[in-house]
Amino acid sequence: MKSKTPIGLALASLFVLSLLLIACGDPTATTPAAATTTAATATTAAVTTTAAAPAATTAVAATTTTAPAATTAPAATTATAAKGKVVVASKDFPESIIIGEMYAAVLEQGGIPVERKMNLGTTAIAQAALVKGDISLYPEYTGTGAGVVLKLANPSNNAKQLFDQVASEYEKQFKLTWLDVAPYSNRNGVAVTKAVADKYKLKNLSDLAPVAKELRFASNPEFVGDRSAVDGLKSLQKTYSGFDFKEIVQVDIKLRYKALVDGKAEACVAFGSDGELAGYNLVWMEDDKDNFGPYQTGPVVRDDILAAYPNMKSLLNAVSAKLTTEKISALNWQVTGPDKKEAVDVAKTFLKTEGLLK
Amino acid sequence: MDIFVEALTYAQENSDTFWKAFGQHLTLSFLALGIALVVCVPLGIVTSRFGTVSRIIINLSGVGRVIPSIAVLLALYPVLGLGEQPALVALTLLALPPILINTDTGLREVDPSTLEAARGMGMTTRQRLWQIELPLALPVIIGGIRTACVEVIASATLATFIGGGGLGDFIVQGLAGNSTKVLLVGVIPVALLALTAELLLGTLQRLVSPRTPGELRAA
Repeated sequence: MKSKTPIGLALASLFVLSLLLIACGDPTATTPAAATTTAATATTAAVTTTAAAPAATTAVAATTTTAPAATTAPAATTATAAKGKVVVASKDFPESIIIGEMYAAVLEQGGIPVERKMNLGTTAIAQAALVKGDISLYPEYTGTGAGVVLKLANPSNNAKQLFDQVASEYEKQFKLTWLDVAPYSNRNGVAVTKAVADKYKLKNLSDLAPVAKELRFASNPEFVGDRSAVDGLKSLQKTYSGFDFKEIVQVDIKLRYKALVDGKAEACVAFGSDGELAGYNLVWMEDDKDNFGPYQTGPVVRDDILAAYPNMKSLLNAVSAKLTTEKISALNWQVTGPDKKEAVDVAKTFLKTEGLLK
Repeated sequence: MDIFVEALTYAQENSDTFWKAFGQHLTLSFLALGIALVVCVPLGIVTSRFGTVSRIIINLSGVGRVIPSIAVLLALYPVLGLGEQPALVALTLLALPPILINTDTGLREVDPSTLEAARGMGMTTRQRLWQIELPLALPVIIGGIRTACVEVIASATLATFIGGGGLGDFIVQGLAGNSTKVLLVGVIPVALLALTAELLLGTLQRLVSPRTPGELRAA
């Protein structure tokens, strides 16, 4: 044991050193996900090596101090962003990634240097990164912008009015521009299995509300978390009274439908353009009381980036014009269904078909 | 300090969900520990009697600790699906090594001359095991349980990724919504649970540790 301690110490320090180098060199180390994984790997290293305890604790302390050090790096990227690359990002679910890839592809064709940061994280993370300048643009939904980002007290239920409300507030508060949005609306909602829909004769959310107590509900964290009252479960409970699900199975956003397929739940959070609705023969519950407003998607861009690359506007607007519910849900299904295609391929094939990409 | 108040308020507002998650977390942790105990203590007794084979078994059990639990979880997910089962498997794997290694080591460290004396007194193997070896090895075994307990309570937060519930739900919600107060609702109870387990088992370990001759003389 005595002869092994210095070797253990040396290995541990080497490991920590390499983590420090990665953390300092890579701007993505600022995202909370990356920071927690680096901290987690550092702690696993500390557990597995049999080095003396004091060495392990200083190693962990050293890695956590590099995280704040790494956050100063992005300040430099905003300054050079105007001349440097345009960072195109997306949120962490297939539709967002596909649309993000479309934006990136047309911008590249338009001669703009692009860096991709797809699958970045949830709304909160993407918005924080955009305001900070770590990313230049990402696809956002008008309803989400209104409820989650701006926390508007009275968002309009009219699509055009909502867009105007959201766009002017974003410009005023964050110096961000909303370019054109796609014609389709991807609302939040609930889907149930066909068996359940037939059994209880469910067509819309009013039908589902009283029946919910017999059903298990698979949800992503946001829908039942602090977005619950905005456009999640609590908002449903307020508008429809009921929706007291027997059990809530909280899963990653990408695993909602898996829970239904596996028989772990009978209802799940669904979005209007999900490919799984048709693919798994599920029944979408109509929002008869209009609890969820319009959710149209468009690129939200930093003003300084738009000023540096004004041709961006026409390039991105051309993409949004082509997106309809049928088209986008078919694309979603190509990624999440049995084909399991890559989002970037699906996006590029679509653009070529629509004549937007050579 | 405000953030702690905010976190408490959030927990109170969502007390149903919170207590459910808390219960799930405890159940998962105790089940994993229970299974590991039932498997590893007898296994440790067996391996302490043998040489090479036990080294192999012990090193194999180390897999549970070396492979990150989240990787085990995600690897099991295609086979076992979502829910508490795969989480339980991953956590049990995590709890196995400390208990097995400590049982094995604790038993090996029993003074051979004490065992000789016991054999000389005419004790059967079973009597030796229950009256001499296990009581003497108990502090070390409890030390292993203590380590396993803290690791399992902390790692049970991962169950949320595959729909296994637990306090990890709040942690993920907090991360998703960039909301520290929600994050704390998950983090603080886990930390308190782990600390409580550590203190309780630490005290238990001290209680079962044999007194030194000096202490006995003073008493």
